[in-house]
Amino acid sequence: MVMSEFARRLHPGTIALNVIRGAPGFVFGIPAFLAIARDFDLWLAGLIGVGLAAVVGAFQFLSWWRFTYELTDDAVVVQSGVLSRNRRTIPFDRVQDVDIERKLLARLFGLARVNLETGGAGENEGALDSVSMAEAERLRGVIRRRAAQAHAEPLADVGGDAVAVAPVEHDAPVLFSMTLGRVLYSGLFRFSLVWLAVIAGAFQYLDDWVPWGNIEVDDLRSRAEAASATAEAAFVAGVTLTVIFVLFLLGVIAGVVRTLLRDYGFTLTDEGGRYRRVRGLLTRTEAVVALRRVQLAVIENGFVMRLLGWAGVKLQTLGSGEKGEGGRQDVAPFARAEEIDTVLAPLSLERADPDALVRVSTMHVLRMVITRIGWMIAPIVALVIARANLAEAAVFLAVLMGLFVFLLVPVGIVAALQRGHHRYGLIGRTFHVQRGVLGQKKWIVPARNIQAITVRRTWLQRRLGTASVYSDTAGASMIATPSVEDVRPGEAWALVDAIRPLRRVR
Amino acid sequence: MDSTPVALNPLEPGQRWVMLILNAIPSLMLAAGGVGLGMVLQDNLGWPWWPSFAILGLIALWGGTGAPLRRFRAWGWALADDELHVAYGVWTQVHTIVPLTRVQHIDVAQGPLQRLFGVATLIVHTAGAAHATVSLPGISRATAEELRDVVRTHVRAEPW
Repeated sequence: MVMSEFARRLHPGTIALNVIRGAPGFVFGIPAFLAIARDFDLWLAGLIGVGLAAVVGAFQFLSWWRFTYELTDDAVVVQSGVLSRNRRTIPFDRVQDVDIERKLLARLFGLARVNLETGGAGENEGALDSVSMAEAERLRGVIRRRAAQAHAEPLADVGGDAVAVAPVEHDAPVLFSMTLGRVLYSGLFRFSLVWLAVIAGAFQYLDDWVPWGNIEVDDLRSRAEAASATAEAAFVAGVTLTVIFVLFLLGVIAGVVRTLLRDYGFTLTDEGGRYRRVRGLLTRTEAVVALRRVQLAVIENGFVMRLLGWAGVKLQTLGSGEKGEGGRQDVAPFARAEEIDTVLAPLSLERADPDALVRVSTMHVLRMVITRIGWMIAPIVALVIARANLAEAAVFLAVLMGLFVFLLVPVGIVAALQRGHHRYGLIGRTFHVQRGVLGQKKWIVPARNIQAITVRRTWLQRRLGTASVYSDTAGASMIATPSVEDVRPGEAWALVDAIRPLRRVR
Repeated sequence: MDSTPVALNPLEPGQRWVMLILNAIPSLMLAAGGVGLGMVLQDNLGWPWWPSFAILGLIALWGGTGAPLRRFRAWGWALADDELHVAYGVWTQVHTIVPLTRVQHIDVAQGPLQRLFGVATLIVHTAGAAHATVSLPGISRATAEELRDVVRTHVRAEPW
């Protein structure tokens, strides 16, 4: 391993620190060790124990020996690895901030861990675990200075936006706000069954105290039984419907209460380059979204919401999410189309007309149907073969085939609807994707924010002649991304080729 | 993959050996499993032991030789304009295009087996979430360091 004169190792105390950190794992080995030790003399067992500790210590020493870091002209270079050698280069202008982390154990040794925060997803980007406190502060100073030079912007903006900026201007225009009426109304759409478990549990305890009064359910039931079969059936149906109605009502109330607590007094102000969002009834929360860091906008709505003309807007921003800046931020949870346009205007984003977007290929329907119920083919074939030997196989086969045919139509209809609602398109410099039948999502992504773009073809897609395009953005959610499923390969590449040059423009 | 925008370079031949060796152990285990299964069937059902061994053995043979070679051939990469293309996959073909200006940091890694055959892996990290880490195994160490230097010039030119 080549070690330049400027490369440094971590503090040697790290070895001891890591051994101690790994110690709890040894606790589980003690019973086994004792069981073996019984057969040996005590001193031999002691020798084995010491030997094991020495082996662990040797590994820790080796990995400490192999870990070096240095600051070159334009990057931080970290070399590590005993068996598998790794050399990581982190350019200074990718470093957003430098954190110093001091956990209890490290503090006892006088050590600290230096974390380099880049634009990435918060994984193991740059961590020096551990150096002495003095070295940690030196590194932080040097790296921050070099990063600021590389960024050519004021240091305050690198870390967080609330740090050194002037206090709120009181004439900042309000972009969007929600009246109490609207908050309550929007709560109706956030039907929540979550609280039912709590309520059901509560009923268990409160059963004795609830005054059921003169209504004796059992008495009524036996009287209905005595009357006639239809009366009994009507009784059961009546009770069931009442229960369902009560549950529904409770769900609605729960949704309204949750929304009230969260969105009361929702106000979004434009402070020139950033949005400030305030909301909450009991806990007033405030979030600041720097417009520079916004990667994309997502417009979401449910089926009934959409029919009545409402939708919600979230902005996905850059940032690790630890300081509350990254991830998805709600900027208008329940808004009309014009209000959404007002909120998106400062970002130079516009909603796309669905007709301007193109639907994905019809093969998407076939692929969805095959992936959803195609798995049934295998057992059907197996049963057809088995039918020769076993009589019971014929019954299973009939059931399975019946199920397959029965499912085919609804699954097919659902897949066709999903395909019809899956649209995409590149309008100007913005990439639009729309998905969803009942719960719909529309992504508005400025092409310059797209990171890696991937064209993917599974075996089935190659048979059907389609491909999928995945565009990755910073701070993206793992669940819902602006991906385009099942377009013809030529169109997929055309889309990729159209997006690529737009990424260079800043 | 058809209609790829650029011509892709194959990996270094040394990587072929790395893939073969890494696949050898699971394949042997599968073949051994075939023998075990055959013996179990013979003891309990009186079936001959060799069919299950033959079937699993053939699968293991393919898995140990043909499959890794196919996978090796499916890899391709290219550096075009200021983008890195990486393509791989036999059953599911994937082609990722990473703009060099979006790269956050770069790793050049070499496992012990790779060191033996003179190949290395270039790992490019972007700021995204799903495909944030793009790995390119089986290029020569010199090429990896060249790529890393090219990436650094682009990063310097266009700050985030």
